[in-house]
Amino acid sequence: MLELTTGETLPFDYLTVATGATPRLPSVPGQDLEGIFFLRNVADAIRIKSFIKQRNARGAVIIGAGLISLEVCEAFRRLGLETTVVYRKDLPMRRLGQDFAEQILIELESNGAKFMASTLLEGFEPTSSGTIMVHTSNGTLESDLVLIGIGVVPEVSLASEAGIEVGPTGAIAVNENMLTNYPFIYAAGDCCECFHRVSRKPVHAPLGDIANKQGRIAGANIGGQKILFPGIVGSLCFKVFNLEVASTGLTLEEAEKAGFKASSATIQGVSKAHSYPGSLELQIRLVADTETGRFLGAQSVGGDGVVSRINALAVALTGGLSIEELAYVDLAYAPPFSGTWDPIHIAAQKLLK
Amino acid sequence: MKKRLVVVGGGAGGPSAAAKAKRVNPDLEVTILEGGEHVSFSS
Repeated sequence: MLELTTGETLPFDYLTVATGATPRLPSVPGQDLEGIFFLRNVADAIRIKSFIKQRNARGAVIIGAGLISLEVCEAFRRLGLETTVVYRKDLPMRRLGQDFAEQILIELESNGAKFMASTLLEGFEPTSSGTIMVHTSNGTLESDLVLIGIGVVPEVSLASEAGIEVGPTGAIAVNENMLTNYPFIYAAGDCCECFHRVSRKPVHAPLGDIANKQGRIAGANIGGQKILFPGIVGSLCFKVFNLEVASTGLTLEEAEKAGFKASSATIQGVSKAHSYPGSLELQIRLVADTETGRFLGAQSVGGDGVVSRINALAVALTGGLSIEELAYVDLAYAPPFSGTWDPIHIAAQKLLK
Repeated sequence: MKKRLVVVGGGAGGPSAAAKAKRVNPDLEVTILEGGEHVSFSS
């Protein structure tokens, strides 16, 4: 039985918990001030855009340098806002490695965004003119608006109250049918965990594509069709200005943390055949298990052709391919799309050496 | 009596679950609860 805020109660035979995730709060003074935003849904986006328009905003500060922050940075620059990204680490998207993160930094700065590295947020203060003072460990910035994008936390308060089990990641624990510890309560989306097929551990991967798949699997099972969610390999992509960024599986650091004896190879390639017009540089890093040769993950940045390669590599990960198999895998070839040796082949060949 | 499915959350996973459950078993009575102003904006 569900109790609603309207005072009604709602009986059910099956329940699906799809409560999503909520923005992580920085817990600093002044974080509730007008002009400080999170971006989680359509209503947030509408609020941000109308605030910019109403206030005729000129400058924005973004706290955090993950996917949402970097995508918003591009959007703010396109609206002509002076934009500063404040991040506690030395480079944006640090997870992808220093070399790739540096490329993202160059892309931000060459598109007019400022990046404040290794800077901690200390608090916000209003000014009499309606702007916001953003206090950081590297000084104070004045801004018309602030976007906080420092991640999300699974929304599990309702689930916890109902005695639904939460896993090691803090999200709802589910089995392959998306069933919780109750035989009639399912969970799907950003509020629940998923099984990572490479690390063999539950992870919290709050991404819309995964939520849709989990929801469909939960619904099928509730309807009586007993199908399984096979888990994820940890694929993601985003675009920041003219740079494509994507990754799948584990980084070298993550592979080592997961207990693999791992090695990696990074290559500089081009998106199309060298001779073909419009061919742009891209870099790919492949990670493999040194002992078994099993392919464990890939990261890539570049001007073009990044996501198609990472998608092919996501399938390779799902299929459990070895680096040796990847080095000669039969990818589609024509000059508008790759050289005879695709960057995937070149990276795998390098890792074999 | 018809079996009742209640889905808490109308973002992405919730509507996907509701729609698939109803397709697989059209006899289900399905209710989605959403606290926000928009439904199914990422399904």
